[in-house]
Amino acid sequence: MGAPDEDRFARLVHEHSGAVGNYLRRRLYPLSPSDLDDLVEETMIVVWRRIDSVPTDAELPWMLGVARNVLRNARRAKNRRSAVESRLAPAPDDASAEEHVIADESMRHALASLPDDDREILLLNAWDGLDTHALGVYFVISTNAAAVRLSRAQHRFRELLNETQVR
Amino acid sequence: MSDLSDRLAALDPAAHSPYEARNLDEMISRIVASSPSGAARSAWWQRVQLRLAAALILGTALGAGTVALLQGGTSLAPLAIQTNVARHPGTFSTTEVPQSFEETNFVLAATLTPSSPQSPSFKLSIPPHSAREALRLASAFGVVGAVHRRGDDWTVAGASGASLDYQTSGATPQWYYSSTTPKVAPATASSSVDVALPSHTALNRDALGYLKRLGFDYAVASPVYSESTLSTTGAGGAPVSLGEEEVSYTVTVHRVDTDQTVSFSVDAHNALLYAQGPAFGLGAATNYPLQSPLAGVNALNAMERSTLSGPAVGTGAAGPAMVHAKITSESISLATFRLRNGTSWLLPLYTYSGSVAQKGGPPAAGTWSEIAIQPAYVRLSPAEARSVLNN
Repeated sequence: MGAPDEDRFARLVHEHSGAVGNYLRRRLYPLSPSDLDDLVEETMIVVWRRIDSVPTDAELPWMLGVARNVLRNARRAKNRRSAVESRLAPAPDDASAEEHVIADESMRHALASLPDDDREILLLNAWDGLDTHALGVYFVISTNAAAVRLSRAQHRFRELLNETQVR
Repeated sequence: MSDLSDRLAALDPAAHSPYEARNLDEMISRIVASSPSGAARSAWWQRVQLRLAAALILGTALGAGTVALLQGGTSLAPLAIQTNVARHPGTFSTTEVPQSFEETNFVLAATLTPSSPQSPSFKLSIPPHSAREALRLASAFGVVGAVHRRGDDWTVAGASGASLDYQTSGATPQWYYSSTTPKVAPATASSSVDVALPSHTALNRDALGYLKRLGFDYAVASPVYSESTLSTTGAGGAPVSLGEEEVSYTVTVHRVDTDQTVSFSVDAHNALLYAQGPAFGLGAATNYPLQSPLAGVNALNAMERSTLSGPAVGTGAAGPAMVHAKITSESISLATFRLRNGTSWLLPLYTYSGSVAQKGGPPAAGTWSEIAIQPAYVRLSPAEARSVLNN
């Protein structure tokens, strides 16, 4: 590895470690800060080893794809995978109206009812800010396919939300 | 979607406490100076895994089944369950229960079946040659091209731009067909349509025709139809709208619902836009003994007691908060699990429905799941747990 690689790696770490950490936190929640640091570092080790493979036009989604695999490894290691996987944070305490709390519960229920693939792409877009091009890089599919999948997920989510609110 | 996006963003666990790295330069130096050797990395990774496993003590009810070990009767081969990849059930298994650290006490609000039902388990037959399977599936959709592999994903892209993705990372491989329409990523989707779409009968007929061509062992049931309009921006910047109709089915095996789904959608001209589903065949049925639905509730409670430390239910302020879940009904289905030996199975699963009282609000609906196989045959062995951990 030469200095340019090191410089690029340092830039990637500084620019994207926050997004990678947030990605991991969202999906392994709650998690201690030290565990989170370890998982971020594990992701960055892979990034360093494969620095030549990081696409210049899609660095973050590529790195999140690495983080996804790190999560898979972590989950394979777990006895009870359900405990530390992402759970939605409790509704903010400042919810001023009961209606707001109910609305949040509707969201939780709708999310829970979504197929896994739909939920993953929906939250990658809503929480991690990946657009359709980035989603394509993340899932290793075409932008068009990513766009269609996202659209499906949004559509199903809206329908589930409506069902929940009608109940 | 903007309103929903805002509401989703409000639920972001990282929004209120974003990740803050401690010392990035130190980490960079450490990584660059010594990319860890295989042995060193293994030890380091094991440390992470052990810490994660320790954190798992806060498990939820469904965790009982996710890495359980079926000891097995003398006539049955033991099943060492590694994951339920298909459903990721633990992620949101009790989603409407608002707190992460609550202890749930399950009580019956209805009479559940005291006897044990019959519901066999099925070993799944997964296509051994993924590239070949991707090409076969692509052919069924009229997509002809070379297959490209990236990790666990195989993609066949036709000259027209239509593509077939075949993903093998889960317990059951999944296929995704995508047409070339719309050519530009849709920006929004609404549930209202202003164009005439094909009839449900026509869509159902065509979807079943595709499934027949795909040639899987499973059946489908419970079609759900929906219509929507995809809105996007065309190549010249002009708005483009596309009406679509979708049908989604539950995959069934021997008339029992599974956790798998299949869906197809078409445009106003009945051209296929998108389709997805699982790729598996069925092995022989195996009758592992099941517990009764009533016993399954007791197993849920036992799991709660064993996974949450602290005082017994309701005995003091130092323990986790406690909520009462009233179980009102149960159903049995088949859920996809991957075993430690790499095989995938459909195993019977009880899903209990009920409600949980909430502070300052109406009761929240909830569902909880438990593997239906008898607890006497399902237990977590510490030795095996370590074995799983060190994989």
